[in-house]
Amino acid sequence: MTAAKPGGRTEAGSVLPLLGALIFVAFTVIALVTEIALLHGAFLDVASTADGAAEAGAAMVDPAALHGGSIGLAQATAGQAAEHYVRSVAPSDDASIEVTITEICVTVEREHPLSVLPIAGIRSQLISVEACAAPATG
Amino acid sequence: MSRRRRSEHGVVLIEAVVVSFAVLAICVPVLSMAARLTDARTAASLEAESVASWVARHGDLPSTDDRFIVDVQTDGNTVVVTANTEVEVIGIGGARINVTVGDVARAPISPYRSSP
Repeated sequence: MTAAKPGGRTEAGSVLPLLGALIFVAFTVIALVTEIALLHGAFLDVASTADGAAEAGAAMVDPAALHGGSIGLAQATAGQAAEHYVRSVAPSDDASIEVTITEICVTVEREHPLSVLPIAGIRSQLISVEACAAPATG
Repeated sequence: MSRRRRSEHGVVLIEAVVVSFAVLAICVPVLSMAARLTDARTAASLEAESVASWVARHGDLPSTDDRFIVDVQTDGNTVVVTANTEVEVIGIGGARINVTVGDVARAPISPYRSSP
């Protein structure tokens, strides 16, 4: 691979840029896939917390409404139950809770620190999941 | 173009193909591994969550998927379910590397559940 071209150039080193580009692309793809997988895992955690909190809140039915023949939420108790659930399962997550008589919606937010993308200047990603639940018979 | 120059171009082409194949041979198993692990984690998470919801609402164990080993514990007013499953991460010929992947799900015990 050292035969000289007419201009004095050789073929030596012509694969090197290709090798460099391929390795760069390959490592970038692997890093992105790993990051997305970790992000997905964190999303599952947050979604599970939001679901549990909404369900905990939806279990707090209003006894007075129940005696009247309808099902409604005891709004203050439902909100407290959902808040307590989030605090006990994921203390570092932020939660906002909206309660109406028929439904409770819990939004859980987590700032997920990224492990690979900080190289590109992205340090964390906000994961936000909303889950709603309503009391029902059955 | 002389025969020698054509030969050099051919060698460069072969080198490029070999290098590309080598990079792919390293990347594809890693990407496949990441995909399998993520898929297994998602499946374990869904299984754990559905079992936790069922136990929290009804009290008894539902029929579970055979692929998962499910462990149910109670922590105060919360049902804690761990679902583990085995994933074949790499399989070359008869040799296999299996990894256990699991997830934990929690569900608040309903005060109105049908059995304790």
